[in-house]
Parts: sequence; structure tokens; C-alpha cells
Amino acid sequence: MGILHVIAFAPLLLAAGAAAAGWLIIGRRVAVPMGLTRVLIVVATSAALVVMIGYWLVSSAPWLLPSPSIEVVTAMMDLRYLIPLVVGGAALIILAFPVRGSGSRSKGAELSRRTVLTFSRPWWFVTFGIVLLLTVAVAVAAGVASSPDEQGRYTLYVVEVGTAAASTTIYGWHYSVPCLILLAALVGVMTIDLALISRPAIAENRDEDVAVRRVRSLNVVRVGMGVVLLHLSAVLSSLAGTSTLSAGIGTGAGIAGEINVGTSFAALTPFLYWAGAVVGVIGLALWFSALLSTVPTPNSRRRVAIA
Amino acid sequence: MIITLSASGGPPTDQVRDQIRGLITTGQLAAGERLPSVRQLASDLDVAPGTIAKAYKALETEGILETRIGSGTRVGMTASPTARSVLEAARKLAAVSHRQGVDLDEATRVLRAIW
Repeated sequence: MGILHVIAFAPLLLAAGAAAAGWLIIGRRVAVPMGLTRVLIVVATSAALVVMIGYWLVSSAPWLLPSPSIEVVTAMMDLRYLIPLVVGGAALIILAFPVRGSGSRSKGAELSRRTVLTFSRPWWFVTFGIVLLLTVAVAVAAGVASSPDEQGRYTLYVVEVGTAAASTTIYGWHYSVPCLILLAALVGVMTIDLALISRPAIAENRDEDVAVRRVRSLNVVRVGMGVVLLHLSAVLSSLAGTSTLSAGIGTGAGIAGEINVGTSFAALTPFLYWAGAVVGVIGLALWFSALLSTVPTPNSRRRVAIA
Repeated sequence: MIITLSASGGPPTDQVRDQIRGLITTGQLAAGERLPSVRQLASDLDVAPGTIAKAYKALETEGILETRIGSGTRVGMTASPTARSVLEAARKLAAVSHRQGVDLDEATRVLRAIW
């Protein structure tokens, strides 16, 4: 049981450790000051983390449940692609708040444009775009490879050898289409979040206002990127399982005449497994790092004290 | 660069126009630099969008601003004596100096030394 617990908790500890290291090295420069903004970030990210970690633990280590039943485990496995999208999407909606009015709060107006990119860095979006494209590409590839089951749902991967066939489940169109729709909605919510953060006039305390908006924008990108990575992790882990399909088909000549067939991407099994694990750890670490942005720093305390 | 409106400063349109013109002629706004949208500036200054639109139009007529559909309003390429890249580098130097606690005299000394 000991080694099983290590397997279940290791990704979580790695993610928390990576986020803490990142915070210690570069994240302590600016923290969100006390107030509603900080409370909402804590609520959004900690709620998302609790649900995601709870789901991850129970799905990867069902023996942790008091009385694990096959129905419960199956139902949870069916939700594995959607959970990060729904939980992270809800967190992103909370991160849009507080929404300040667009009217002036200062004595003047800055002569510079404020757009959704004003408080962000271009490479954040380039990275996010690459990960998103990769996720869509994997969904399309798996969808194209899928076949319909008895109910007409594209959930099967079939290997045919002559008149015989072996099949297993795959991340087919039945699973990927709702996820692709939610991914598009996620991009929309992120854009709205960034627009709501950048739109109000700069406050009189310019430096602090800009710093807080940068952290809020970064948190939107962190949580959004985390959502996509956690979803991609579930997809890659699922494809790793699909790739292990192996079946022996008899030719009528006894054991010597048996032909072993597997998937065309069986050689990718170790890569898919480890890529899924690494991507999941990075995704969770990004959510942890968003939560850590609310930890008070000496600078933020001083600013609050001055205010 | 911040522009402000005062109750005793005359019509808001004139105040906006004069301040933008002043920032351009003193080199604080560089040639080709983008200005905020009419809607954003009007919202920030708590005035009607028409007020800002009129100010921008007047400056366009003078050849100080250029408006193109899709790319917004920019300072005219011949309106400012300062190149945009020089102004952006100077702003970066000022921001870094502020962060490092270097005052204007010290920053100027460093600039002169490496000139």
C-alpha cells in the first residue's frame, strides 16, 4: 500500500513543490494586496484545486474511497476529460471579479491604449496558443481514429485482422466534441476576463494598480493554461491506455498459429504515459502558483500599511 | 503622459486638443505612437465620446494625428521631432532607474558616459 500512496500523491507534491519554488524565486516580487481581489483569487483557485486534487486522488487511487464500487469508478473515469474544463472554467469566471466601473478614478487619463494585452506578456499567449493547438490536434487525431460503438457513439478504437477484430475505448468524437466546445468557451472567458481587468481607468496609485492588474492577468493565463494542460493530461493518459491494446487471433494451427495484434501507435505508450503525467503536474503547478500569488510579501505589506 | 481636465480650463475639447498637441511638440509623444481610442479616453476623463472625437478631428486637420480604419489614431509621422524607438528606450531607462532608486542626475550621468 505504501508504494501506491506514493504513486497517488507524488504528482501533487511535485506540482506544489514546483509552484512553491517558482514563487520563492520570482513570484514574491508582487502580491495582490488585501481586499476583495485577493479573497476571490483564493476562493477560485483553492476551490478548483480541492475539486481537482480530490478527483485526481480518487480516480488514480480508488482504494482511497471508503467503499469503491465499479459504477462509481466508471462514472468518474467518464468525467476525466470534462472535470478540468468545468472546474477551471468556473474559477476563471470568479477571477473576472471584482469588475471596476470604466469611469475615471484618478485626476487624469493616460495617453496610452489599454487592450487585453496591455497587462500581459506576448509569450504567455504564444505558449497558451501552442498548447491549445496541440490539444486540438490530439483530439482531431483521436477522433479520426475512432469508430462507432453499438449505440453509434465514436468511442472505440478497432484493430482489424482479416475477419477478426479487437477493440478498446479511445478519446473519440463522443468525448472530444463537448471538450472542444468547452475549450472554445474557455478562450472566450479568458478574453472577457482580460478585457474586464484592463478596461477601467488607471487608479491614482498607478504603480500598485498596474502591478495588481499584471498579477490578475497572469493568474487568468495560469488558470486557463492549467485547464488545458490538465485536460491534455487526461487525454494523453487515456491514449496511453488505448495504445496498449493487444489481442491474440488464432489461425487454427494451435498456439504456434496465433497472431498477436496491437495498435499502430503502441510504440508511443511510454511517451504518452509520461507526457500525460508531466503535463498534469505542470497544469496543477500553474493553479498552485495562482493561489500563491495571494501570499503577502514584505512589499505588499508595506504598500498596504502606507495606504 | 497624463492629461487632465479642469473646470476653469475652457471647453474640454480645447483642453484635450491643446494638451495632446503640447505633448507632441515637446517630444513626449513620438511619431507613430498610438493614442487611446476615443471611447477609452472619453471614459477615463468622464466626458462624452464626441468631445474626444472633436479634439482628435481637429488635430487630424492640423496634420498632427493620423487615423486609419483598423489601426486607430496615431501621432503623425512628421508631427513629432522624437523618434518612437528613442522615446521608448528613454521610458525604459526611466522605469528601470526608478526601480533601482537611481535619480535623474545619476541616470543622465550614466547616459552621458556611454554616449
